[in-house]
Amino acid sequence: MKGPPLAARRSRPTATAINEQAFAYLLLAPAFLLAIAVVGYPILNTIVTAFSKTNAVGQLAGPAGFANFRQIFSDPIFLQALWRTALWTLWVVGLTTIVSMLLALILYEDLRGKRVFQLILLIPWATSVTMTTIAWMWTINGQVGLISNTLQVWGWIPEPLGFLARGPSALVVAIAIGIVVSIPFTTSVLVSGLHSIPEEILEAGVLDGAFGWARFRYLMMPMLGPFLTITLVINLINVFNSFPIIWTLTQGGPAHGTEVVVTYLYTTAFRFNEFGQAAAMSLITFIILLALSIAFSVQTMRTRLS
Amino acid sequence: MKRRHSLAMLLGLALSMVLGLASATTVTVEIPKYSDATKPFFEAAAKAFMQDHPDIKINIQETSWDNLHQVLVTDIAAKKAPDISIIGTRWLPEYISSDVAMPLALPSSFTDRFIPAFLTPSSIQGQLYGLPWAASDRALIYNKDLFKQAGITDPPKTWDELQADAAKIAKLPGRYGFGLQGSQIETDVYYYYFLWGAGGEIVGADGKSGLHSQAASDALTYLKGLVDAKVVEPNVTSNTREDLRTLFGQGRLGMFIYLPPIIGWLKDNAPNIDYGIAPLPYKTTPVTYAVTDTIMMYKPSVTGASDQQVKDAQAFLEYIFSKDNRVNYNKQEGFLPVLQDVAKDPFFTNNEKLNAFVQLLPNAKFAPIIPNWEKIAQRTTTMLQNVYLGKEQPQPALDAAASDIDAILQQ
Amino acid sequence: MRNPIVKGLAYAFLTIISIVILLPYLIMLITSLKTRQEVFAFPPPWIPKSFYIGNFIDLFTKVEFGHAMLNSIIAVGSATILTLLIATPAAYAIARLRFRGRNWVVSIFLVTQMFKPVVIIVGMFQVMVFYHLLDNLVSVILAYATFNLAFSIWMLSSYFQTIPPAIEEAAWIDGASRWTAIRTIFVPMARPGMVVAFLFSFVAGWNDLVLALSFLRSSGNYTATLDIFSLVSGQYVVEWQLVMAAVLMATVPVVIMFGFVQRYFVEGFTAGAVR
Repeated sequence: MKGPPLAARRSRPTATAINEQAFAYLLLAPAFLLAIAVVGYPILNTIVTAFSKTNAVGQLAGPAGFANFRQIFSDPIFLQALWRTALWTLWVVGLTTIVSMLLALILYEDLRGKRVFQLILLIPWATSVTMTTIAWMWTINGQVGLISNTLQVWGWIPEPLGFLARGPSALVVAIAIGIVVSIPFTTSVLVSGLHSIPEEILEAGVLDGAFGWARFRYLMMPMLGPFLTITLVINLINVFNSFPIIWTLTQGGPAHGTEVVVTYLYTTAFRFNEFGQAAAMSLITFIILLALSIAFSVQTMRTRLS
Repeated sequence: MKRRHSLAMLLGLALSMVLGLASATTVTVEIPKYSDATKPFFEAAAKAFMQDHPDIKINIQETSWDNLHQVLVTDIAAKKAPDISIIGTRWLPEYISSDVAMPLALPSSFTDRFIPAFLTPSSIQGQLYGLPWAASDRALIYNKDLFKQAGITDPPKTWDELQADAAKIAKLPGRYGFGLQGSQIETDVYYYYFLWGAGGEIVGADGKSGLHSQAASDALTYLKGLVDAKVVEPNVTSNTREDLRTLFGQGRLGMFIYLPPIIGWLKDNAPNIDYGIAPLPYKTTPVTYAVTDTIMMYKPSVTGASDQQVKDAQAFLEYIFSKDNRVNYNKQEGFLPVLQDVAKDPFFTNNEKLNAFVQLLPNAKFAPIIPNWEKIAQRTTTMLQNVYLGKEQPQPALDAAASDIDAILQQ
Repeated sequence: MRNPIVKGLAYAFLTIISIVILLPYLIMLITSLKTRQEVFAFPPPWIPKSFYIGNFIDLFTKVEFGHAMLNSIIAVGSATILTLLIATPAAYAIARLRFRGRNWVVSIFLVTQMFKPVVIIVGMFQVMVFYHLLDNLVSVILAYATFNLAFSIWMLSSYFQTIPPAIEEAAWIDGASRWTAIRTIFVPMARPGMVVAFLFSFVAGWNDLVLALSFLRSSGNYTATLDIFSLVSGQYVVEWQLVMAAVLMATVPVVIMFGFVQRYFVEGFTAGAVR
């Protein structure tokens, strides 16, 4: 899977190895140019700001060494936010992957109504995450929510629903929303990954007597590997950085009970005007995500070679 | 589509360069959305102004209150700040210390029209940095029907009466006594009503946090007592100020504390509620909380404005404070008049409910206009939420918050 | 799936997930059909009194929602096409060509994904000011395209790698030029992967709020998401019935698009192509 085999390469009409490399760079150039033009400066700006003193309107005021980093690491709220972000990410990504894998396997088969289910699974994607969160808030609202009121009338609950009144329960709601909005993407990638497995391989395996779990484990999983990795890494990055869900639900409250790094970052920057510290937080986030992605890439490369 | 946009831009640029040498200035005004009436008011005022001043163009941009601060920060950082902006008064210190706020050079014939108390929040170190745009104070809003049902004749005046009345109403099935805000902006203010009402201050005379005081202790213990006695709405920490308003509009809440726009809101959304407006119950000191939002101008260093543009912006600023414009605005949004001549307008003198709010002004206290106010407010809010949730006991919570706030005040 | 118990469980699972997904939409629909007074009525009725569709009409008259939807479709559509135009050649290079740094390209692009817009918004705003693109839809088009690059390149290159090179080689041997082979054989087989990349990019752009909020200032340039946000953002008054109506309306075209495109998800390979 690494390009045309040697024999074909030698017999290709025009390419030599150097030309091939130049051609590759040519194909990659537009992407690099766009990325640098749009996010190159902002990323540099963030890095510089993290090591600078800043004033209340975000202007830089001289170098600050590691002062911003020292400040945030001695802030118990930031440390809690870091821990909570890890929890939040693991729960959302973990459960999403399991649920989506099940869904992808189910949808691989021929089922009646398959098309309808597939469409339904895509619907959360069609609404912005902020709006989905607002819709859910409305749904579980204790004062005007239909659910809460109906449950009260039936006598199932003594008091109106108050999921958002406490940190832990609010986090559960956030996790649920996070899973729902991640399902469309994850399932789609896994489904198209399943469909990329040549049927002959699956049939051959079945002929050899591998049904059910064995078929899944030894035939499908290896071929799904790269797609699974894509969903894991992208989801990890997106969920770790996910802002709209928690911010819309609780803005990190109550009493920082749902505070994650990115909401605390926003509060630090735009409420407390501490831009240096906020930039330091984004750098920390970046380093964590970078480390995780590298770990994943190394892992994937290793399994590919084996 | 992309090409059409760029082409239009280029043509527009060329055209404006040709015509613009005779300098039509563009003044940008950034406003937060109070309600659906906010933008139309400004656009109408802009239109009328532009008719009288054909070489000035007024550009109105609106955003939400939640995002206003962020939008302004990004604007300032890119030196694209609006000429005029409405801001939360608490942001003034940061703008002044960063030297981006412009001291206003307005004739005293203009500034004398203002009710003096409302000019104090935006007068810092002897300079006037902004004008009060929206002014409000707070009162106790109570449901007369529920009071009758619970056998209460008059609104409560003291803390003990407040608790007793709330308890009576809470006994009615499906009703809550007193609305206590526990979520989002101004959660801490709800506490200040009681801190001040017990004679306390947010920042003591010694420059340290007022949470060290006995008054702070009394106020917090009292509020915690209300929560424990279940005379407030359930799930306090998920109720914003507007959630309390909704409960009141549904007729499920006996009383809560809110600002003058409640009059318009109830008229539109819950016209059947028979309600009254009373001063805030207090322990030792009658008090209310007065707030202004400030309209101010940014310095050319971050707006890129020419001297002419600054003059034009100031002209528009004076224009929107004309008596007619202000009467109009106050009528639509329901805020208190900030100009003396507006306050004398029959619309206000005849408005019994609005007058009830105005009567409370002599006892008004403002939030301290100090840098790092947001951090202090946030820390106080966190303390309150922890206590309401029962995660912390009042006294230790106060001590912890007080020492943190002392540290912030030192910064 | 011959086992009926397993089949039953599968259906049950699908149904539960579907309910969880659809319930908020149902409630949104109910709310959008209520009048302003009904919204806060207590106890809240499940069935709106009069199926008031005035809210949907109000959207077009009060906040120019139709125009905002158009802006969204133009901006996000352009961004997505731009992403695909740039990502596809890059992905092809990674999948098929040998060059130095090949294993790291995807990782480098992932770096752009790791800084979410909200985190670097101040710098991004300055960039757009520098390009004189403030309050111009082109700013969000470029921004969306950039933030979608990493995933698109990655997805496409992975997908391309699963297409056996032998297929193209068969075409070369038959005398076709490299470009013809790409166009007539490779691209059709790559369609499912391209569809996912297209959808992901489109949705990411459609969802965005922070970038649109910072770059677009005049209401004539608002995207649909920004328009909805401005409905929710009144300090003292939020008209929920309008918000819900707007959200539903913004969802509909995207769902329709999904409906058309979903068959590409599930098309497998053309049988027999390898032989």
